[in-house]
Amino acid sequence: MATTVIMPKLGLTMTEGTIEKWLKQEGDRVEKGEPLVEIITEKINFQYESPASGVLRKILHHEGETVPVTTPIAIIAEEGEAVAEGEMVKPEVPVEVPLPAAVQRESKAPSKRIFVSPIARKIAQEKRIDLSTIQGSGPMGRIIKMDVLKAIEKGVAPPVRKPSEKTIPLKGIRRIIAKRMTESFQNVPHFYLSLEIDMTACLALHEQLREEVERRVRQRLTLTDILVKVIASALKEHPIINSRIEGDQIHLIEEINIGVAIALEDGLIVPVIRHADQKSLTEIAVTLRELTQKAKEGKLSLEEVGGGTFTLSNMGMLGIDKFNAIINPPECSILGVGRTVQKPVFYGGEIKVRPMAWFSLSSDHRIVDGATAASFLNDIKKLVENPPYLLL
Amino acid sequence: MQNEPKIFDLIIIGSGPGGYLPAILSAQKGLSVAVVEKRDLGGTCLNRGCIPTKALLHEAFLWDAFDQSGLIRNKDEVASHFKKALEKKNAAVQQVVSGLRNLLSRDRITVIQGEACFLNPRTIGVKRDGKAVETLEADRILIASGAVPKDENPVKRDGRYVIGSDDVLTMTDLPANLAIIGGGRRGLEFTTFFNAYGVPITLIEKENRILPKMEREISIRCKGLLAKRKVKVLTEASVVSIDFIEREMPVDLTVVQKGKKETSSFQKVLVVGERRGNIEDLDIEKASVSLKDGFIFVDSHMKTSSAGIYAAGDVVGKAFYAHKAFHEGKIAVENMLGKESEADYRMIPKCLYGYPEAASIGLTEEEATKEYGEVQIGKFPFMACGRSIATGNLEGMVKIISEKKYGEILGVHILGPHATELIHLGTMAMRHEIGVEEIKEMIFAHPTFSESFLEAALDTYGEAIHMMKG
Repeated sequence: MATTVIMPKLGLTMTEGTIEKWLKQEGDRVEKGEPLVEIITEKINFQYESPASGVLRKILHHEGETVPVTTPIAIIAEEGEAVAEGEMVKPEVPVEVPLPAAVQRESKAPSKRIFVSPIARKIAQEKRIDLSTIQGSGPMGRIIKMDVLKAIEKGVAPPVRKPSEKTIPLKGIRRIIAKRMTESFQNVPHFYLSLEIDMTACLALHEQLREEVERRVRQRLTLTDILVKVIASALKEHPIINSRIEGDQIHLIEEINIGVAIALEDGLIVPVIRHADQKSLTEIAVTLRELTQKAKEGKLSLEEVGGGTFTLSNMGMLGIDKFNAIINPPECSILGVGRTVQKPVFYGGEIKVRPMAWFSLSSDHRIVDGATAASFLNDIKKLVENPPYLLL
Repeated sequence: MQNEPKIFDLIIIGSGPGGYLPAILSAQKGLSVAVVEKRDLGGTCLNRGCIPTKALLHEAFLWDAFDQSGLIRNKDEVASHFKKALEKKNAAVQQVVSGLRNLLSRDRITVIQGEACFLNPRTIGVKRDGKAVETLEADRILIASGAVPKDENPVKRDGRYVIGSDDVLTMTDLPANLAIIGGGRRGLEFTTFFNAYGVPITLIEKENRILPKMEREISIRCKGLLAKRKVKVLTEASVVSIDFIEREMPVDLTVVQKGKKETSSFQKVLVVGERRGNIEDLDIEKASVSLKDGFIFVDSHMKTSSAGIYAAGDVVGKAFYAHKAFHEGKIAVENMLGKESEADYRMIPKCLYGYPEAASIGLTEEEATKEYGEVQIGKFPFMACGRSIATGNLEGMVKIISEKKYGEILGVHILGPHATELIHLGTMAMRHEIGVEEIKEMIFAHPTFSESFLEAALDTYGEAIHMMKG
C-alpha cells in the first residue's frame, strides 16, 4: 500500500514548513525511520524520518517550497507497486508528531544539480567560484562562461589589494537566524529603554545560594538563573509584556516561558524554560544547564526551542556594557543585560563604589508603549535590587 | 491621387531572409507587418542565390559522379542534362517561393509588390512602374533590401559576354570555356558547377589565395583539388584589360599575375566579385540613415543611425549569407520588442557548397593564435574515415582549434563531404561551451563522416584512433 508523506506538524504553533533538502531522491529505497527530508520551520531545521519503508516514488514538493502542515509532500510505495491517485493512503494525521529528531545544523545530502556549461564549470573550479552563488544568463538560466567571468571580476577584485574571500552558503541555522531577524527588524517597530541597576544584592544572593544549590543538585547556579526568576516574577505583574500580536489581535499568554539566548559556534539558539514562574531557582538552574548542554551538542528538540514568551540575552560574560537586542518574534520584548562593573555611584547621600549593570529592554511598540515598558523595567530593577521580593 | 497612408506596426523593405524571417517573428508577436518587395518574393536567397544554386550544384554533381563512375556513354548528353538541371532548379524555386507565400499569409503579413522609397523616416512610398501607388506608415522600419553586384573597372557586365551570377541561372547552353573573376566561395561554387559539366575554367582571384576569408589550410587544400580537376587558378591576379572580338571566343582578358601579363580568350566571363548595398532607389537620405562603404551602417542591435529604423541582411554588408540575415533579422525584432540582444558574428558559419564542401565556424588558426597566444589543434583527414573510404570521399579534413587551459573550442574548419552539415557539431559545441574533452565523451555512430569530428577532438591530445601517428 502506498503511503503519502505529509508535512509534519511538529509543534502547536507550527503552521507551515519549508523543504530544505530531500535526503532521498525519487527512485531511492528508503526504510522506515531513515532520515528522508530536511524541513525548516520558522524556528528550527530538522531531519524528518520516513514514516514507511519502500521506494520514494514521487516528490510532490521540491526543495525551497513552503507548504502548510499536513500537505502531502511525497509518495512512498513498494517496488513495482502501481500507484493510483485513489490508492494513496494518507497516514493518520497526528496533531503532533513525536520528535526524535535533533537540531540539524549541517547536512551532507547531495547538492542540487546546477545547470552549467562545461567550460564555465572548469573555470569556476579553477578559480574556486561556488557555482551555486551564480545566476546563469544562458538558455533557461544555464550558467555560461561569461557569468563565471563576471562573477570573478565582481567577487575577486584586484587580488593584491583584497584578500580572496570564502563564501558560506546561507543555510541551516544561519538561514533561520537571517530570516527571523530580518523579519523582526523590518516588521516590528522596536523601541529601547535602558536602566543601570545596582547588582549588590543580586550578587550577594548568588553567593548565598551557590553552594547550597550545588550540594542539592550538583549543578552550578548562575546569575542568569536568578535573572530568569526575576523576569518571570515581573512578567506576572505585567501580562501585557507576556504577549504576542497575531493579525489584529494581541494575545496575552498565560504561560510564562522564558527563552535564554545561547551562543553556538555557528549561530545562536534560544531554548525555552517553560513555566519559569512556577519553577524554583534550583529547577531553573537544572533546566537551563540541561538545555545549554543540549544546545552545544545540537540535540535540542523543537519543543525545547518553541513557545517562548520572552527572551533574555545576557552578554555580561562577553564583556559588553550595554546593547539593544532584536526582538525574537512573535514575542513582545527582549531584555539585554550587560556586564557588572564596579563603579562610583551616588548611594545613600555619598559617592560609593557599587557593582552596576545595564539592563536594556527592547519592546514591540505595536503592543506596548514607553510608559508600560518603563514600569516593567523598573519592576525588574526593584526585584534585582531587592531579591527578597521574589519570595512575595 | 494617393490614398490615405496605411498604418502598420512594422514595415519591412525586402522579402529575402533578412526580411521574411523578421516579418514572421514580429507578426507572431502580434505586430501588424507589411513587406514591400520590388522583384521576386523571397529575394536573392530563394530566387537567385542559395536555393537555385544548390539545385544546380546537385544536378551537376550527379552528372559528374556518373561520369566519374564511367556510367555516361554519350558525353553529348551533357547539354540536355544541363537543360534538365535548369528545369529542376526552376521547380525548386517555385516550391520554396510558394511555401514562403503560404507562411506569410498564415501570419497575416501584408505583402506589397512594388518599389519602396522613403518619404520621411516614418513613411514609405510604394511605386509600381514608376508611379506612386501606396503610402505606408510605421513607427518601425526594417531595411532588408539585399545587395547587388558591383562592377569594377575594367570589367563591366553586359549580360551577354560578361555575365553575373543572375545570368547563369537563365543560361540555356553551357559555355565552351569560362573565366570566373572572384575566388571567394561563390566564385568557387560556380567553378565547381561548370567544372562538373566539363567546362574549362580559369579562376581569377586578386588575393594571394582563393577563399581568402576561410582557414588558410582550406584554401591551400582546395586549390590543390581544383588543380587536380584541371581548373586553372590564378591568385594575386587582376584583369587589366578586356577586349571584345567577333569570333567563337569573343572575350580577350589580359591578366597581370605577379608582374606577368597574359592574355587569354574566353567565350564568357563570369563576375562574382564585390557587392554593394541595394539602396539606390530607396531615397535613403530622407530616412537620415548613415551609410558605410556602400552599405547601411548598423550597431550590434541592428539599429541604424535613425531612430526606429533597423537593417538586416546583405544590405548591411559584412558577409553575404542567408543565415547571417536570419540572425540579424531576429536580433532586429528582439530589439524592436525591447530585448536588448546583440548580433554574434563569431557564431555565423562560413560555408562553401562546392566540390568539395567547406565550412568554418569561429576563429581561424591565425586569428586564434593572435588572440590566445598558444592554441591546440586537433585534425583528422577524411582519408582515414571509414565512411569516406566506403564512399570514395577521401578529400579534406576536420580541424578543431581549442584553447589550452579549458579545452574551449575556438574554431572548427571542415573541408570535405557534408562539411556544411558537419559544421553544426562545431556550432553547437561553441555556442554552448562544450569543450574538446566533452566531445571525446560522445558516442558517434559508425561509420559516419561525423566520426572525423570525434577523431579530430581526440587528436587534440594525440589520442586519435584511426590514424597513423607522426
